[in-house]
Formats: sequence, C-alpha cells, structure tokens
Amino acid sequence: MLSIKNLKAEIGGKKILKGLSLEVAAGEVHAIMGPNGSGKSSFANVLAGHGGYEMTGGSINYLGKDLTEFNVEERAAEGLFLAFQYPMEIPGVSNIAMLKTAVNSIRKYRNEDELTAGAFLKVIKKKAALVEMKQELLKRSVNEGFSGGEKKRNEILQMAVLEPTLSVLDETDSGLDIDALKIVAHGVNTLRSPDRSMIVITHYQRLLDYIQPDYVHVLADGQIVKTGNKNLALELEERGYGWLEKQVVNG
Amino acid sequence: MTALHNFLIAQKQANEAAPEWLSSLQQVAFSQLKNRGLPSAQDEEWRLTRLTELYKQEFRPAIATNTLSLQKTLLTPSAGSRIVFVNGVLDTGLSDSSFVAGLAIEPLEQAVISDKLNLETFFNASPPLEQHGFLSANTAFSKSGYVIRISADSIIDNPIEIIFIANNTGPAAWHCRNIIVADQFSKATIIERHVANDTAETYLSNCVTELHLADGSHLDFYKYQDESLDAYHIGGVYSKQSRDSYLATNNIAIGSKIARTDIYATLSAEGAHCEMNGLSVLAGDQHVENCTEVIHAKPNCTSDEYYKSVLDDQARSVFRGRIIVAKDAQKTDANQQNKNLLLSSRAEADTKPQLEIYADDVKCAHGATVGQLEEKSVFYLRSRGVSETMARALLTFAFANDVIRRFHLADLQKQLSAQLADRILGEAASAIETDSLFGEPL
Ligand SMILES: Nc1ncnc2c1ncn2[C@@H]1O[C@H](COP(=O)(O)OP(=O)(O)O)[C@@H](O)[C@H]1O
Ligand SMILES: [Mg+2]
Repeated sequence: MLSIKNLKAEIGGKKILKGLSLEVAAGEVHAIMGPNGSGKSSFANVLAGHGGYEMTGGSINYLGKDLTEFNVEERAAEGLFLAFQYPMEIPGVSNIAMLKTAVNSIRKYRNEDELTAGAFLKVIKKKAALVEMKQELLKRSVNEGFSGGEKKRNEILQMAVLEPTLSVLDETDSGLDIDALKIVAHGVNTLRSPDRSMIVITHYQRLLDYIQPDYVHVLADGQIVKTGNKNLALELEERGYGWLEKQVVNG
Repeated sequence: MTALHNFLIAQKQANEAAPEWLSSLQQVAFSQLKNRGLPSAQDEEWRLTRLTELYKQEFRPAIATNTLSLQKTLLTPSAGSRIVFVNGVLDTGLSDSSFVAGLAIEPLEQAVISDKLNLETFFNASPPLEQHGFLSANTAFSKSGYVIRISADSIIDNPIEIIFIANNTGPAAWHCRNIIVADQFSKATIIERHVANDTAETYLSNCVTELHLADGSHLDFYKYQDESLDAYHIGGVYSKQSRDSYLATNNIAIGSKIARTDIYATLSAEGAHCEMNGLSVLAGDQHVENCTEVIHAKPNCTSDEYYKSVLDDQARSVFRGRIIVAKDAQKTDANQQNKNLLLSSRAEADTKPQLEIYADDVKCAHGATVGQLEEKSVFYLRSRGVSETMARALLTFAFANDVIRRFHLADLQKQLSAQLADRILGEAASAIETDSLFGEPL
C-alpha cells in the first residue's frame, strides 16, 4: 500500500528526514516511536503534503501512484488521513459543517453524488456514537473550547467519517486518560480491515496494548533505526531511546 | 470652505414649529458648524478617513425618485414594528407599527411637538460636549428620525426595525436623529438597517442615534449598514447607561464607499455592562472607520468590545478604541479586541487602541491583530479533503462569522450568517448550511 524509499525532507533549510524507508502492506498497523524532535510529526506532515517541507530525495509510492503528484486535498481524497498531534481550532465554523464540507469535497473528487442531509446525518450519528461524542460538540465550532481529550476524539471522529485507506495518527494518545484512550482505540480498531492500513505515532507503549501493531519502528534523527514487533515497544518503555541513538552513532 | 460646508450652511434651518429648547440647541449647533467647519485631514481624529471627494460634491436637497418596495431589503422575520425612512424622510406607507403595550414610537418631528416623551431631557444628552462638524450638522438640521421609548418594566418581545433607504438622484444629504429611551427594567431589541435602492446616486447619510438606558434596563441594538458603493455614511451611536443596565451595540458595516461611525458608551452608574460588537467586510476601495469610546465613569462596570474586519482588494479599515477609566471607577473590567484579516497585499488596516486608566484596581485587557489566514488552519482543512480555495473561503467566513455568532437575536444572526456565507463562499455556501441536519435530535 505504502512504499517509502530513502525519503529526505527539510524545512526552512533544516534537514529533518534523512533517508527514511518504510513499507506498509494493506491491513497492517505500524507503530512509530522515537524521541522528541526526531521527525515523527514532520514525517506525518510530509505524507499529508504540507507545503512547508521540501522533499529533497527519495520516493513515496501509495497504491501504485507517486503520492507527491497529489496536493494536500487530493491526498485526502485518495484515502490518506492525518490525525493531528495538535488539532487546529476554527472558531466560527461548526464541527458538523466542516465534516459535511469535507465529505462532499471528497465525494466530488471521486465522482460520487453529494450526500443528502439525511444520509449525512445517519453517518454522523453512527460515528459520533462510536467515539462517544455529544451532539453539542458537533454543533460547536471546530475544536474551539474542546478539552485535549475532546480534540483527539474529534480527530478520530473525522477519521471514522472519512473512512481513509491509510491513516496516520500523530500522538493521538498523548494527554488522554485511560477512558479516553479506550474510546480512541475502539474508534481506531473499528476501522481496521484487511484493506486499510495505519501508522500510529506514539510515545507510549500503553496505546499499543489497545491497538495491536504488526510492526514497531524507532525513528531517530530522521531515520528508522530499528524495526521489531510489539515487544520492541516494551523494551523501549524500559530502556528509553539512548541505546538506539548510540548504536546509530557507532554503527 | 468646501462645497459641502457651503451647501450645509446655506440650508434652511429646522422647522419653525420646533419648541424653544430645540431651536436654541440647533442655533448653537449651527454656529458651531459655521465657525468650525467639517473635520479636515489636519484633525488627528479624522486624518485616516479622507473626505476630500465627499467635500467636493455639489449637494442638492434630496428628492425621492421612483416608488419603492421593501422586497429587496433584508428584513428581520421576528420584527414587530417597522419604521421606514426614504432619503431621511419618514415614509408612512412603508412603515408598519401597530400598538404594542409598553412601547411608544414617534417620528422625531411629531415627538418634539407632542412632547409626550419629554424629549428635552434626552435630546443631545449622550453625545460628547466637544462635537465634530458632522455631529453639529446633525443637531442643527435633524428634522426627522425616530423616537422610541420603552416604558418601565415592559418587555418588548418582537424586535423593532427601523429602515433607512436611500433612493436619490443627484448628490443629496440627510441628517436623521434618533432617540431611544429604555426606562427602568425594560427590555427591547432595536435594529437599524441602512440600505440603498439600486438606482441611488451619491449621498451622505449623517445619522445619529442616542441610547438612554435607565436602571436595570436591557437593550440589544443593531446597526446594519449595507448601502451602495457611492454612499457616504457618517454615523454616531451615543449611549448613556444607568445602574445595572445592559447594552449591546452591534455594528455591521459592509456596504458604502466610506463609512465612519462613532460608537460612544458612557457607563455612568455602578453595575452597568456594555458589549460592543463590530464587523466590516470590505472589498474594492471601500473604507470604514469605527471610532469607539467606552467611558467607565463609575465602579463595578464591565465592557466587552469585539471588532473585526475582513479586507480584500485595496479596502481599508480604521479602528480606534478608546477606553477611559475614571479615577473612582474601581473594579472596572474592560476588554477590547480588534482583529483584522487582510486578504490582499493592497488592503490596509489601522488599529489604534487607546487606554486612559486613572483608577488603580481595574482589569483592562486589549489586543489588536492585523494578519492573514493561518496557514496551519488552511492545511488542516485541506488535509480533510477541502480544496484550498474552499478552505480559505471557509476560514474567512469563520473569521467574520465569529462576530455574528455573538449576536443575541437568533433569526437576525442566522440571516446575517447566511448573507455572509453567500458573499464569501458564493455557490459553496450551501455546503455549510447545516441547520437542516439538526431537524431531528441525534
Ligand atoms: N516549521 C519548522 N521550522 C523549523 N524547524 C522545524 C519546524 N517544524 C519542526 N521543526 C524541527 O524539526 C525537527 C523534528 O520535529 P518534529 O517532526 O515535530 O519531531 P517529533 O514529532 O518527532 O517530536 C525538530 O528539530 C523541530 O524543531
Ligand atoms: Mg510530534
């Protein structure tokens, strides 16, 4: 589904991704862990097509297409979704209006008819229940005055509504209490299927108890320095990242 | 001497039927105007609004042209009484005000004579003593306007709507003076709409509204100004508030060549609260200046000011926000925010907060920004599949709608949001129409 080879990217002249390679097959869940500032969010942003980053090398192939040929909104319409580490607040546009605009924009791109209000309502109703979001939060402005946990749940709601083929979750678990974490994980797991893949960026092994990954990667200084199964996450929890960074320097 | 000034002082002064108190007031205002003239670019308070072109116009007294209907005008669905002025003159045919208990509405020319409302006490009592030329002209020449009094303890359920329509040929000027008196513990909503017929030519609407709020009264006031690109609008909304009164002035300016509005609020007794909301959405070479002043004269009053502008092309907005906290106005809580969104590199916003605080135990917050759309937000929306054009339009709409959603009158709020969506989002406006989605509970 996703094949990244030797990806290099910089922002404002600063090199951030320094030859990142990653293969994600359909149906797989990949966890990416790594120290702060190692480039995890940058990687997610580059995938989503953020204009601030300049790709200086490598390739990103998604479903047989060169992903870099698509702009941000086209990538979304092609089935890519990024759950933001820090979701934006948009005072003055209701959550539901934004969702409706997003759904219909994507449907238009795919040459599908726009959803009627009734059909859209049905979808929203189901998905809001999935992440236990109250109607009141749907009517409120996007993320405005939402608690940290509500913002993250809102990201998962958007994901559930847009039903992406490839989801990238950037520290969706950070700042969540255990109940909110379970809700988020439930939302994510409901979406798991043999033809959907996920990249889950996290700091904490705890999330991976709820969202079982097929692979765990460590991103350090713009490169994947180690890949393992979920036991690697446990090991990282115990030992930290220091030993890996040293390996890179030495090796 | 400018052409406009000459034209004004050559005007016959107000009607002979005016009572003594009014004639002498108007006499004084007339000589002020004659001696001091209209504001010039040398006046610090006026230098950012160039009126040279206005001053050059050869004005004539207004004559109404074709007959009008209100069909094309936005009306507030919930409005009860409606008063309509065409070129500054009362149009009884278009007006519609039936009897409402606790509510007295009279045209100014009648009110000064009948004097049921004790106008002498209120007329010209809320504007500042030091008046500029346009305010003097308004006092000197105001023959028409509306007077509304809401009697004590009356709650007027339906909003009262006043519509000023321009429908002139040849450059014309008019000066309406409106007076609203909210007696103790009364509650009302009043909407002023300033609009123009398609065929209206250049005009100057010099319109002043005075708001007098007695103890415990509650007034929700709207000034909606969407005239023509040939319109000059010079206006003032001057309020005085007594103990525990509540006032919201909501000022929407989206259509004129030049609009300058002075919104002055005096909190003259404890416990008064004043809210000021303002929105300008401008394009082309439109220019709006809002000059606000809040005087905290007594302790324990609160004021909350929120002004925004959206500027495209070479449009320009000027915001002046003066807050004065008098020496004994302890425990004042004043907030002022002015935010300007520039959609073009040629657009310009000036923002001039000015705080004069003489008390020591006060909370005064203020902030002013001039900037573009946040690229992070654009990216966020695009990452959800929304096109870049739509994302920008949506964020622009959101920026402006942020002011409208502070309004208290639900149907007006909805109408203005829809109008704004139309203007900013065009055909895509329907995309955000989500009302129908909430027809049934989720
Ligand atoms: N807009 C930016 N301009 C310059 N440097 C940036 C910008 N955004 C991120 N960086 C830098 O890129 C590096 C990686 O950041 P980030 O991708 O956020 O890391 P992580 O998500 O792993 O904590 C950091 O050194 C950070 O300071
Ligand atoms: Mg990060």
